[in-house]
Amino acid sequence: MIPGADHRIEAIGDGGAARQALRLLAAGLLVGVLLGATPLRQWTESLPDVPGATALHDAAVAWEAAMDRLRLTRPYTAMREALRGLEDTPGWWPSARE
Amino acid sequence: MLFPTLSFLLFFTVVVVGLAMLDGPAAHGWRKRFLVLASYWFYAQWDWRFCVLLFGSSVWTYGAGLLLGRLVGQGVRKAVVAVAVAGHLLLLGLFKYADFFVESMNGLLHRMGLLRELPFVEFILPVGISFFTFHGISYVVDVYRRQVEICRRLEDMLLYISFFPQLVAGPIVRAAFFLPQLYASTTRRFDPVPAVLLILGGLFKKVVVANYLATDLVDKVFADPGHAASLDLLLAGYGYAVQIYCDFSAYTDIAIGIAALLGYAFPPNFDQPYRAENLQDFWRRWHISLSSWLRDYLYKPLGGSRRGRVRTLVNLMVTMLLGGIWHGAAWKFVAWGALHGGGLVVGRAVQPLGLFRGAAGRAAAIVLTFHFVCFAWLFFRADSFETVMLYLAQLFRMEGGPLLVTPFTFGLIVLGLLMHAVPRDLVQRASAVVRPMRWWGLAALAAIVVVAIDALGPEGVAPFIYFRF
Repeated sequence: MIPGADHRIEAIGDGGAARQALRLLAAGLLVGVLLGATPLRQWTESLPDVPGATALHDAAVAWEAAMDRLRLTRPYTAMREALRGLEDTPGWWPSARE
Repeated sequence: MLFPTLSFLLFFTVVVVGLAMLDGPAAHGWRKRFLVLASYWFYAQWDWRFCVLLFGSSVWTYGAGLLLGRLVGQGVRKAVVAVAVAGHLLLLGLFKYADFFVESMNGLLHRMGLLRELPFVEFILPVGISFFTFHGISYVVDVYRRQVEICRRLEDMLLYISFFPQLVAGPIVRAAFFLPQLYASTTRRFDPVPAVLLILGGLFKKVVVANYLATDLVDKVFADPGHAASLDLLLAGYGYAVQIYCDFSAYTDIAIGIAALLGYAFPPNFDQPYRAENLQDFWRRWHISLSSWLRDYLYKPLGGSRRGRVRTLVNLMVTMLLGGIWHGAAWKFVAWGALHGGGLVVGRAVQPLGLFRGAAGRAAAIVLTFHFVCFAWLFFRADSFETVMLYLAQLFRMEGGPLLVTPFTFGLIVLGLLMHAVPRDLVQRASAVVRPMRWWGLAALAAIVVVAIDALGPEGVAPFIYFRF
């Protein structure tokens, strides 16, 4: 998508790159947790059977239900369903309709 | 642990928190040690035993560098570098090629009518071994050539070889490029906008374009090419060209972006490869860190183009054959390398004829090169030579209407090619648009895009293609 020749990312000064990244991550995670309750719950289902995994999964299920009540899971579900619909669209050529 | 997963996001968050706590020049050494630990933990997610190998390879490289720094005599230095490189090649040969060698030998013995078989070693292939051994080789050779400063601290060498964004699939970062960044007492503060945009673009290419092309078209066609329609086969061929580009360049984009967020720069690895006018041009644009590595540590030491026309062509062929087998221990990769080597040889031979002149000639050259590359990808993708033969036989039978190609998969191929051809300065231009936003706005926007990409992607995440190399 983005050609390599221009991938050089210029430094803009000295200082903590990590602190800068941490601020971005923290804010991003906050929004991600609100809108991504469904993938969060799905991720907890894929976790290995380690101590705390069940509690984490239960918390994720409860969180998804809470976000669902606020309708915040809808954009995720709607996008997923829209893409599934697109994926299942048959071709207009005869062989695809047989 | 794959980049486009929540597990990786969690890991990355822990790394960033740790580094933020160790900020400032006083904690410089601790920051590097923490990054080494994080990188080894990242690597151990595949198999903790691989870490022993990684550590051994790093110590070997580090020791060879120190020894080369102490020696003065050219003959002794040459011997040391030869032993150091041989050690790396032995490691690679043992873990990656031993069983391939045994299998090939057993096949040969059978054909000769001998019933005796060599035993298989059955080593597990450590993820990223081809990449970290190439890092090690480039370092010792550069020290020998006095092109890089000797790394005096083991922690710097451990981090150079194991730094997690590039550990399993590159780019192959030269020591002269990366080590000075480790010597600096503070990490440089980077403009986060291009880094974030690169990561988001990479996620989209991998999760949406590459993954759907694989699951909905390419994997199905290559699983049974004998029963696919000609148009399905043709479009699966194009589809794989788009898939492998979107898959591998996505990994590189995400790796560059992640490294930048941690304060480190990586070199570029792709530059619109399918716009190449010939194979030489293609290799200047595809997996640039590998092609430049092969040029500097194999092609040039063989004599490059300095020893006459015939020797140049032989050197090209040898380089591409070894480049092919670097990708995997199988004859199909040798065939892929041979095709590229042969193509480069023919390209060199016909270059003086000036067959492709003017705009129309250049366009024809691009189309021809693209189709040659697509043809060679068949060997790369197929499980065996039989699959390639079946694919080609069925393709030219010109039978059957397409069943697997849908408007969706066709659209993905077009989308992938369009994304590949976007202006070179897109990141910079997009950054200029996004930059006026406040940092929290950028973070929120990035989070929304990440959730959207996850919603659009298929269930689960397939490993990156280059992880197996």
